[in-house]
Parts: sequence; C-alpha cells; structure tokens
Amino acid sequence: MARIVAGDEAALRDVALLHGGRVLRLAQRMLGSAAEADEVAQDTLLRVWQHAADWDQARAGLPGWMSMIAWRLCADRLRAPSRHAHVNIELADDVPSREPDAETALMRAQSMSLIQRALQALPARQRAAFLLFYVEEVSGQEAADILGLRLRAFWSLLHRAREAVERQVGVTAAKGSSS
Amino acid sequence: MMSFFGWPRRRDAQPDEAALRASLHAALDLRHLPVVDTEPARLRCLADNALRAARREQSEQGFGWLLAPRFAGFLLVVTLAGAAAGLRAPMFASPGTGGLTALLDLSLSATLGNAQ
Repeated sequence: MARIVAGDEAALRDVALLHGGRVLRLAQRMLGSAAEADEVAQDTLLRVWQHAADWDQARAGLPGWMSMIAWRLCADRLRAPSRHAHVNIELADDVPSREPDAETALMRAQSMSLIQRALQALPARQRAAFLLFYVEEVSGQEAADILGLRLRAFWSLLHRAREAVERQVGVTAAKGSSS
Repeated sequence: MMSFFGWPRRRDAQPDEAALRASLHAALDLRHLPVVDTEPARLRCLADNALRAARREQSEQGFGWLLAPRFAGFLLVVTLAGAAAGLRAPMFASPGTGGLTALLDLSLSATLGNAQ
C-alpha cells in the first residue's frame, strides 16, 4: 500500500491480481452481470488508488477493505430506482462444461439455476452475507465488518439468508418434482 | 452447546463457523454456482482501466476551475464589457488603418490639439 500511496502503478496491478478475484466474484454474484461486476471492480481499484493513504490497517485488512468498497458500490447499484428485480440468466451461460455426458451437465445446470435463483431472490444484504460467509469463506467477524454490522446482527442476517435459500431451493425442487 | 447446523443454542454464544459451512455444503452444492472469470488478464485490464480513470479524473480536476460557474460568469462579463467597449474603439471604427496605429494617431492628435 505504501507503493500505491507513492504512486506506483505496478503496485495497483499487484493488488488487483492478489485481491481483485474476490471483488469480482462478489460483485458478479451480487449483481448477476459480468459487465457490471467489471465496473464495480474497476471503481473499487480506483478508490483504492485514490484513498490508499486513508486505509486503516488496524480496522480492516486490504481484502476486507476492498470487499467493503465493492459491497457499498453493489448496494448503491441495487438501490438505484432504474434497476428491476430480475433473475439474470447471463450467468447461466458461464456454466463450465466439464461433465462428460449431457444429462449430468443438464442436472448441474438445473441445480445451479435453482441456487442462483434463490440467491437472487434474497434481499441484497442477506445475499452478501451468504456469499461472503459460505462461498468466499470469509470469517463471521470480517463479513460483519464488510457489511458494517455488529457480529450478532450478522449471524442473525446469515441465519435468515440460509433459511430463505434452503426453503427456496427445497420448495422449488419439490414443485419441480411434483409437476 | 451447538444445535444442528452449528447454530448456537444460547443467544450470546458464537456459532461454530466450520460446522455451519459443513452443514450447508452437505445440503447444497455451492460448486453449482456459476464460475466467475478471475483470470489475471481480466484483473490486469481492470487495474489499467482504473489507472486510466484516475488520470482522467486528475486532469479534469486540473482544469476544473475553467468550468467553475463563477469563472464562467466572470468570463461572460469580461467578454460583454470588452465587446461593448470595442464597438466604440477607433480601431474597429477605422478598418483601413491598423488598430494600434489608429489608437496612436488618436492620442497624438489629442495631445497636439491640447498643446495648440
């Protein structure tokens, strides 16, 4: 970070390579769009570059600080009135085709879209809590810091998010099997 | 004491994070989530774009005072005053002669006139 404060552009590229992955994954799964995730990740890096001197290492590690910036940018976008709540199926095209047979691939795609749909149906903060804790495997305390919550409030939020996802996936799966 | 899925029974107790994750992974396969491309090339490109945006913002801030409303208002007043004064000036009234020459002629004749 000292190199960034000193204006070393290569240092920002190093930070992007080290910690940009988590920012991109969080943004893309929050917003459901690769293009928007690029914008959020780019804005996050821009803010790191511009405000590196303000970063307080005692308050948050660099990945945590970047995730915090990315979360706020995502929340701003999700709050925008022009945004419509919808399940973005752009992500469904990114399913890796590693399965040898089409049936397994189809089953995996169906299962993926169930989880994806359940996540998209969650309120933004619950979705972020779920993604940070279960998908990115960030600790509870760090995830709470990223979302600007007290730890107990975070656990409560996560509990609600998990219940909603499990209910949604379970209900949808039951409906699918009964029809 | 932990309940099912790693959630604590007591409100003030902390959940067992590993047990929570393990119980979720047993119920849902999160590997089914879409893969996000985090290739180094994409990340490097994003860093380059961020640096370009930072340079652009810095240069806009450098010349930002040109766009400031007060400065724009000042420029407008000066231009209007200049135009109003210029229309009456002899250099505009006598296009056949050079502006500066006309001005000198005028001041000379005024001086000579006063001397006489």
